[in-house]
Amino acid sequence: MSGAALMITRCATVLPPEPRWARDGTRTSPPGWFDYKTELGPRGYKYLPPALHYLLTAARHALADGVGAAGVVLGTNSAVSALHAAMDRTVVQSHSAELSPMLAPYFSVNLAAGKLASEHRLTGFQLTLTSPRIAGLEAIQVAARALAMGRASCLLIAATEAAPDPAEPGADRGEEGAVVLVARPLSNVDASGAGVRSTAGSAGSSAALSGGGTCRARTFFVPPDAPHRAGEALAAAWAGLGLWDGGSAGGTSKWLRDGGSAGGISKWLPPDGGPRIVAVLDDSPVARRIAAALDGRARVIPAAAGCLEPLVQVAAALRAEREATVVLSASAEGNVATALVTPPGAV
Amino acid sequence: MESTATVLDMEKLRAVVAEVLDVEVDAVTDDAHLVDDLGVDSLMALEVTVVLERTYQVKLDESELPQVITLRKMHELLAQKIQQQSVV
Repeated sequence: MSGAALMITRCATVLPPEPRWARDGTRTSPPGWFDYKTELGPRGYKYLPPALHYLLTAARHALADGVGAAGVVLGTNSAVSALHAAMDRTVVQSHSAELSPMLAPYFSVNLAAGKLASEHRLTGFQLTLTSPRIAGLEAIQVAARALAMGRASCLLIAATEAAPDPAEPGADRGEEGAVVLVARPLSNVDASGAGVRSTAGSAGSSAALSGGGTCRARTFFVPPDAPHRAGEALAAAWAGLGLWDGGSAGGTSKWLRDGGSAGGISKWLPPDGGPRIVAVLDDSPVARRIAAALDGRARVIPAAAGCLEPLVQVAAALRAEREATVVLSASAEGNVATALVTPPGAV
Repeated sequence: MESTATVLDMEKLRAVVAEVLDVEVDAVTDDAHLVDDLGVDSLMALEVTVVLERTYQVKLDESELPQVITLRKMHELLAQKIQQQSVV
């Protein structure tokens, strides 16, 4: 898949102040960290799943000062997980006539992007991605492709998650919050938003990125039953991002094969002064293989249940001073995505 | 015998409707128009119906909904329904 680059001119986040990881691997957010009435207004938002509250709030921050966008690519894994479970319980325990008509439309996960589009008149297109763990990073790739093809001059790249239903797998590692990035083609950047700026908000923050940061992403698949292919696939993806010269002479970085076997894992030997690497990984076989390939050179962040954390790391990388960052994530199902993020100061 | 009007407490009904409509209780006056004054659309009308049926254990027919344009009308219809059920 292509790794076309795009420019990020604004980024906004709505996140719990301190998501906590317990020793048993569970993750929780401080109770009451978000009040939709404070963030969105006293009326009109009651009948929305929490993930939409976070998403709409982040979008308001990102689109402040009259910034306009034509469409949105949204990644989510658990935006409506709790709603689906509640609907199932209502039907099983009572009757479908008991379902809330106001919430019923949100049985479709696509309605999250649809609500955002109607709120901000995003009349171009809206697309929802649900690939496990990587949907947020995948949204960068899809948006870059759309921008490169001229389908829009400005798009939102977003990820939103809410606590999954307690009965769902991974519910003890649920994510809450949203990230929204404003993206433009590299050749069509309005730098009028110069100056990094943060807006005050009880749960959200946004920043206009002076001159814009750049971002490109690639996705690939590693069969869970053949995780030894992860190193090769990652090498190819990073070559596509320009992080590796593909083995040509004169390169300053390279991959080492493990024992010379064709299918063996590779180890990444980064060039001096190369980008820092942030890997959002779980303990699945695919993730373990990738961690091994990185050979301790990545800052590994424990993966939560959704696709939010990788895009949170992209937002953090965009706000960095000068250093480029590679963000990487993988799912147990074999989905892998990686993004190269260059903050405004390093473009 | 206690009248249906006292069984069906107007203030409780007002609070239930205000909660469903996500407005202040004071905004739900006896004669406030549900559509013109409180912004109720067709989907919200269905939400109100579901909550009223569950709260008061009655069945509201779709054909009866157009006449329910105020809280007072809603109270009258519900009182009538409750009385019919008590007779049955």
